[in-house]
Amino acid sequence: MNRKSSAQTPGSPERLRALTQDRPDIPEILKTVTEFINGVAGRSSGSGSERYNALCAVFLLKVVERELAAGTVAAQRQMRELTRLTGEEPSMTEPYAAFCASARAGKLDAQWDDVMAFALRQVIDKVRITNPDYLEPTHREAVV
Amino acid sequence: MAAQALEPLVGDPLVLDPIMAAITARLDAAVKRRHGSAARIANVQAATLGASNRTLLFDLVEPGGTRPLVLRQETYRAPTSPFLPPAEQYRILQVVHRHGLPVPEPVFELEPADDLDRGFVMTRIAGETLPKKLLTDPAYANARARFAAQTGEIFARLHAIPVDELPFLTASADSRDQLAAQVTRYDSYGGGHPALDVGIRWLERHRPPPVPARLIHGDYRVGNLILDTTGIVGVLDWECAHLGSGMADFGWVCLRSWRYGNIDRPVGGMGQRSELQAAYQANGGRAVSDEEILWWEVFSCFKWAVINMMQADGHLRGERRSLPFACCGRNASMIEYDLLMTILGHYQ
Repeated sequence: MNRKSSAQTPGSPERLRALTQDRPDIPEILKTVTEFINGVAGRSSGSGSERYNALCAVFLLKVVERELAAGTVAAQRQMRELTRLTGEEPSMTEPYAAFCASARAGKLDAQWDDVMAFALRQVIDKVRITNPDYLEPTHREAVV
Repeated sequence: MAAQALEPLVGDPLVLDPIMAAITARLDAAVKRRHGSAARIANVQAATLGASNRTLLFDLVEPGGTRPLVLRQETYRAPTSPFLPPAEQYRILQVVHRHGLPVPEPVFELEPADDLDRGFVMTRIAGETLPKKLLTDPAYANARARFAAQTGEIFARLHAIPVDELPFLTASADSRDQLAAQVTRYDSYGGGHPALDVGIRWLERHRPPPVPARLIHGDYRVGNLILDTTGIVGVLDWECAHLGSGMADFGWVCLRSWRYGNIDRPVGGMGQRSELQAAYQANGGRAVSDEEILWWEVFSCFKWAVINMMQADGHLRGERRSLPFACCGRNASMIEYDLLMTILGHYQ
């Protein structure tokens, strides 16, 4: 079988991980499970809460699919921007903690436009994973 | 799906299960205790499993006739819970009903002897609560056209109720300082969302001048209202009530989430702010500035994002495992987007 479904960069650690396992790979497994749950959601029998839970499950699987496909580009860009804004390397366990504390305390007021721009970009990065259709059309494209 | 995932507070009919069977037996006994042995309950249905309450619909059947009623039971209790306990909700209903607002009539409070935990029984108002139906069904066209003005009238009457009739509300964190109360909750769920801390800073820097405290519903929106084809006939779900600026209710009903896709109709997805404000003032409400309303719309985004974090926190801690609550954790990002976009002048 050919490996063709992966959205990862050739030679990337994610690609290598996928190549060391058999098919179905992660996107294919997600597709398989999503198809099953969509079947539950579309069933005419069953309770309203069962259908609603099935829709929620599909929503969460779509989040996983988009997050895997997006990779780490946005996260790496954000870490560079955080370093520039706060003057220190972000914590690897709580990367936003220093920015959040400084922004709330007013220590970043002098660069408010940059602070707003970072916060908006960070949120757009999240919504592109959660529900890209929710964004204004100009915010739907990926930023490197 | 997004709109549904954003809407954990409105559930679906649940399957009759052993828990329901036990509740039904105890409710029948509770009714007999108050209305005599000839009374019984019939047609019990679980309406919603909300964020803080279980709602059961039932009929009280007596020799003299049948009365449609509703049981509200508390399902969420935590030190950081933002919701009022049922006893206080019941007292608010009594006051608001006495002032003639369209709310269910309170019938009786649960007591320990009922073995039904904490809650109360109220009358059932006939009508529709489902947002999708209310926003799209041609049968509700007249109700939609009246919605913003009717909401302005309801707010004016609500905000005119003397707050000394509800003295217990002065003690709540939300009554003391809405923003501080939400910030405390945000931190308790872990914080760490850049947009929300930027939002907190913006809100602190742009606080409107203090105004006399009014009774605020706190969760007035489509989904918590009963409409018939003529308009709003019932205002439900008073567990977020508190004292504060009346504009808190304005900001909340205009939240993008409650427009259900009709972004150009800010008041519940049905009407315009100008209709809301005109009706508010025509019924005795004060004049308000656009800046003040904007502040409360940004604040409402913050509050709604924090509520979504609360639901996800309940799921992740294992106290209230639920697929919709898991979705809430990711949905917070969409509300954060609305918060920043509102500051930047969108959705006006």
